[in-house]
Amino acid sequence: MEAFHHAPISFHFPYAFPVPTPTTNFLGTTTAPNLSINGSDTWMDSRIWSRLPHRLIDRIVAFLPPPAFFRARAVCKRFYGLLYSTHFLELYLQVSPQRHWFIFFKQKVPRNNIYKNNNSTNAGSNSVEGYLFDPDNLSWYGLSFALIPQGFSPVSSSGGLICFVSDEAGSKNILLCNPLVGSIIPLPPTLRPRLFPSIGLTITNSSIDLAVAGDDLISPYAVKNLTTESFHIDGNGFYSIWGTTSSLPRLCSFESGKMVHVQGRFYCMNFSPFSVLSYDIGTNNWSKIQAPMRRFLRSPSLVEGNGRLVLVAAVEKSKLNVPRSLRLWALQDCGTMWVEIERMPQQLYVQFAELENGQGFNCVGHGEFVVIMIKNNSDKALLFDFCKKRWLWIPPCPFVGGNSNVDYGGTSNNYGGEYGGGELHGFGYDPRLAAPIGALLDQLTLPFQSFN
Amino acid sequence: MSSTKLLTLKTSDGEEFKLDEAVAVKSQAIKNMVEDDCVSNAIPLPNVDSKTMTKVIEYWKKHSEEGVSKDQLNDFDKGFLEVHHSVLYDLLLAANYLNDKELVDVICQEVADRIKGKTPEEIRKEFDIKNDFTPEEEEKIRQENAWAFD
Repeated sequence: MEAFHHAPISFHFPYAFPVPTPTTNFLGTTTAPNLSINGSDTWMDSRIWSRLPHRLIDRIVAFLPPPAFFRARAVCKRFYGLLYSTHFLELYLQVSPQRHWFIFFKQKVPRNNIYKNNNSTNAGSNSVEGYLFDPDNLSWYGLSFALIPQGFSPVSSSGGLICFVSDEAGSKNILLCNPLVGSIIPLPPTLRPRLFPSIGLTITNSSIDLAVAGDDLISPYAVKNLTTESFHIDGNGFYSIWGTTSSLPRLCSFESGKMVHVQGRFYCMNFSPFSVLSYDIGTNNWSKIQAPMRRFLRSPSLVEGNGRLVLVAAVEKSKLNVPRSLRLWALQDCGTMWVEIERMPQQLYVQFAELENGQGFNCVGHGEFVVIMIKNNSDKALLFDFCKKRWLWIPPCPFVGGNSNVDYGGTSNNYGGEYGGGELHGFGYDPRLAAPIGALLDQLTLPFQSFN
Repeated sequence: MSSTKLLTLKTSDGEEFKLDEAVAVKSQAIKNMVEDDCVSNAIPLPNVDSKTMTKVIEYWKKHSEEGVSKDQLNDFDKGFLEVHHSVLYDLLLAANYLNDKELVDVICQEVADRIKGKTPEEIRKEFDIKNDFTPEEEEKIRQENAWAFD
């Protein structure tokens, strides 16, 4: 993998890019202003800190963000072993703050290809790569998913785990992966044969809920959005392993994609005409919600924003006196009404629209952040911060573009190889050292496929 | 019934601080003493000096105030922690001794923020930790976690 060179930022947009000047060792920028409080260097006097009891040092280490934690493992054997120490992990789970980060993956070839992916002879990289994005520091990190076997694609993320689903048509195999520690937990495969269903996932410290919806294979070469299967397991001993199937609303046509989880429901975008489908996890029931301004939306996406469902879309009105814009609406508690909560500043939208050029954009949200990525151009992505009400251009992912020209052979298409033209898709991801539900899943003694 | 009782705390350098009991019990250690009913006289705190105690009380008072918003508290904390690392160190030990988990965590987060950009060697120097890896072992660890070092 190429070393991460923090590229000089040369965007000519009027929006301030408040990235602190990268330090020469590019180990992630720090934003603490008080490092130079004593005027001279940033070294802390070792005579002071050396007398800290181990217990307090461990507590400090538990507060480190993942990249810093993994660097700290090289300090000494004791630090190295913290990752395997139950005591430390318990402390970590108690104190470590939630991080509203993101992870992105390169898009694979057009999903309509149902032929088996027979690129076993290609010279390109076989293992999945994910790109971790820290929105507080605008930094990128490259994560390798070497343990994920071929033929799996990432579809969702929750509770620090990333969900991979098998590409092949049929019953779907599912893997939950923690890329920081390289762990993989297989789930029992789904029951009904599907092509590319939409997946909803939510994981807490004591429960997992998964919904697999649509793209039922009604014949070897035909799909229809018919049913949903759900998986549930929790610490109270309740479990439902693909035991419940519920019917999708008639004539729904959602593109295969992720479902967004907000407060006990999964939501996904329904097309022609635009509406939002809502799946109640507790009752396994679907319902439809009208989208705001549905006749004038372009490129709508659903994201989770600070605990609410937020719809992000460009608004185009045929009447000339209504300016085009990019707006965000939040679904209100009643579950049917939307309120516009934010609009991209008009000047920025003009620049954005010029770059986007009608191609559309994808959005992902996590906590107070929303990332808007222009399709077919992953160099250009915006970050919106709900709390600070700030729009920023994100520095392009240094791991993408320029190195996607490997000849993967196989399918011929307009994209630059198997992984598209550098287009990224992603999810909100909270990088965690440990996920407590791993223990819960160990209790599931089911035969699973070995992937060698 | 809320108590308006005043407690006296005596620091290592002999200074006495008078404080509302309701505020002082942010320290679990003091709270235990109150519950065990041994606070008739001044509570001795031989591990905390007056300078540090003043800072701790400043934190406790602000976090006991009514009508302060979360944003205001965050702003206060930020300013409160903008201190020299020697002051921070004393604060951390005092908060640990007094068993005020909230303050301990706030300070640990601050220290973590100050060291998160540092190399392993810099962290060793700061905490006076001996490098017990062989060069080969250390290299292997860097490879293993290469993504964080890139």
